[in-house]
Amino acid sequence: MAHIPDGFLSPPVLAGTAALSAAALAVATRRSRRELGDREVPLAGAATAFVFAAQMFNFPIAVGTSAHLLGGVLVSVLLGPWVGMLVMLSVVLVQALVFQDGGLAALGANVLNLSVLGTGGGWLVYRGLVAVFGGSLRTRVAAAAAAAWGSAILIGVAVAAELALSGAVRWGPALLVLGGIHGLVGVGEGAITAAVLLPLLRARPELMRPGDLPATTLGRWTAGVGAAAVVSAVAATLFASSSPDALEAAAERFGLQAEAPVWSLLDPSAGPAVAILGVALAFAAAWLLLRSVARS
Amino acid sequence: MNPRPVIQVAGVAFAYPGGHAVLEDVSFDVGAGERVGLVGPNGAGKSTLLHLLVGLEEPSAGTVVVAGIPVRPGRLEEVRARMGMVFQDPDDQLFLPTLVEDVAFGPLNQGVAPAEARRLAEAQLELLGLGAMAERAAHHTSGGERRRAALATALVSRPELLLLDEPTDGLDARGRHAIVGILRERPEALVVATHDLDVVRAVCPRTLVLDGGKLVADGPTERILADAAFLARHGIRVPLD
Amino acid sequence: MGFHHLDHYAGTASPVTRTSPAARVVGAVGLALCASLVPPGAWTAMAAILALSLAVAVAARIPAGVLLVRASVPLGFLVLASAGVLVMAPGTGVAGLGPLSVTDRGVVLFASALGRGASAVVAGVVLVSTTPFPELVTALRELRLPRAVTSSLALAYRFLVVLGEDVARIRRAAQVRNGGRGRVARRHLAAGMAAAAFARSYDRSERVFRAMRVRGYGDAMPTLAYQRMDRASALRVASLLAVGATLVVAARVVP
Repeated sequence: MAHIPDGFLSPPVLAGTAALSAAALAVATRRSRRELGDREVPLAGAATAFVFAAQMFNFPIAVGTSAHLLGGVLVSVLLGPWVGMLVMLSVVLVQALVFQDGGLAALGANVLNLSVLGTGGGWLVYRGLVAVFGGSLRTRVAAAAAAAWGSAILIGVAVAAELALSGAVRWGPALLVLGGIHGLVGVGEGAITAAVLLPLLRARPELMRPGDLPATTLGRWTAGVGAAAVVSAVAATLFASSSPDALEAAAERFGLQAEAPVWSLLDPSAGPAVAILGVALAFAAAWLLLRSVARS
Repeated sequence: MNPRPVIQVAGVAFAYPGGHAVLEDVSFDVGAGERVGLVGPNGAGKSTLLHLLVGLEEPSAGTVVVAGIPVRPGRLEEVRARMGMVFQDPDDQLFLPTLVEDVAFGPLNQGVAPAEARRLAEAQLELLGLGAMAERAAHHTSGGERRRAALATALVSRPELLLLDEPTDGLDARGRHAIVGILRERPEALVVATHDLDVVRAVCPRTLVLDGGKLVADGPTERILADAAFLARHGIRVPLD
Repeated sequence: MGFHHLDHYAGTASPVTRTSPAARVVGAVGLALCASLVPPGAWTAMAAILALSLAVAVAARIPAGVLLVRASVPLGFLVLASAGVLVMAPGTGVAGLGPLSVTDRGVVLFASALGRGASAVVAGVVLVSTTPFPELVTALRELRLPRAVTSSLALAYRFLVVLGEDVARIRRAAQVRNGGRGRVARRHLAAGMAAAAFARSYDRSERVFRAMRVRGYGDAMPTLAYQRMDRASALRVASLLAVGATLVVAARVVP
């Protein structure tokens, strides 16, 4: 369930994810423009078409089952994270508007999961791995496969968190089930990403982005530690979710409950002024966070 | 009165960074309204020469002047506004959702207001017999119509010079006939790079022959195409039996 | 490949097609949003918003059969997705389902997700059935989505068709050479084709970029004049969403 349909998310979650997505995309738009200049539009257009086409190939996995590519990590490994995020935004947008795959009101959440976290987060993992293990063809392909797997889990965890914050599901089972399913699906995503990337980079070595290798030792270490943090945070969440009671208690302590006061501020029934204030605060926080990430 | 030539190419050479020479010491002029065929075997440098004329590549030696403006970085916008280019694959040129948007793309970039650009584009499509297809996507038109639409994207800006790369490639007899009919009526100077000698004969009174990056002939089409031994030597028309 | 099989009713004159494309997008997203804002268990409001969406579909002159066929896939997905909520929602168990137990709140949330989701799906089907892809792109442009996104979507539309033709050629060539027999070979073939598809679309983007530059493309992607949001369209969509919003407020105030 990579795409959340309409009908599941609560108003605060809808507003919060939309604000986060908008902020992240504002950054991505500016950065990709700076990186590519007027080359951006044809390149992003072609990559968007490629992702749609790639999603139509079915890869046989085991008897009777097949999977298709999500493509976010693949595109960002080849063209950079900012274009990758914009491309996945276009894909999610068209899937919702044209194919009713993912809700219209839930667009903000789906963009956050697939474009911002799945693609941007997946690329961070890739960059960290390449920084630690080097940028040869084989390590790049392996790093991309691992990042694609990690990005699928990241998406699963994000979906679970949004549903749980909406009060639609309990934290423990949601994280376990959705994280687990995406962990399985992610194996396919990683395998396909590697299978496509290997012949492609062999035939076209000029598509290996040199900039993905941090020049300094410090940069290498920061990237490595960052990637390790993302991976271990996801892993810890998954482990924690196997003992639901502990997680439930932790969530309650941090006020991460649908009925908790922090979130009820965002509920329109609490009065329009408070709701607007809450959305504005969430937006500002997201903006600041993403600006600092984008500068680094 | 001797009006200035539209194209002045003097001593032009081009080599890729690897060192492989594509063009060597090419010089020629093309007058206003003149129609010139550019023929030669594959790899002779025809496409590269066209790219030098529109400033997509820079010569490693020599000068290219179009419409009195040197083709070099800094003046490309100005000089490109005076010429049109039709690429070999119309799918490279028709990239927007509808034909009218594709045709209006050039005028819009030159600062024409949107409403006026639409009017110009529709008029140009009408002129080439595509009036009913303005709002259609290129993939819902035939090969011949697509080729004419690509031509429209170049003609709409009223260029002094039109460059065409294989304008009849992949067209059937009727499609070729339509393109030839349009090209013969054009007032612009034309350079037609092609393997299709019938098109050269029908459209261009003058022919340039490129082989191995050198200009090996420049003269009346009638005389050049009549010299079977010369054409065979340069791999332009080799008898099959 | 492409999106054209979908915009079948785009040419049918109706109050919906007379409304500007941007207004149609706002209307569809707005209706989905209204449906999402109805609290779980407010059945009357949910039914009223679904009725509102269906009324728009009727106004768009979309035959009931077509609506049903087009809505069936996303609705089926919605049912599957909501089924998880039955057992994963917090609350007290009301029925056993193997090792899992269906909770009381789970049942309410399940039905609410279906009720709210159905309105959104109907609204989406109406939008896509009345709006051809190029119009959708101009609508998104008018709604101020980032230029990079709308421009690359406009290009992606043609790219997808051209790429589809390229890929079909590669596939035929592989089939002629007996490629893709057996699972491993099929997997290799699919990977090779996807890699080739990327290389082709990358090269295509370079050539298109060249063609764009020759026609004076410099800093920004220009756009043609298009049908802008007019007063009548704005009024129509505003009144539709006013009804939706009233239903939401009513459902939230009167439990």
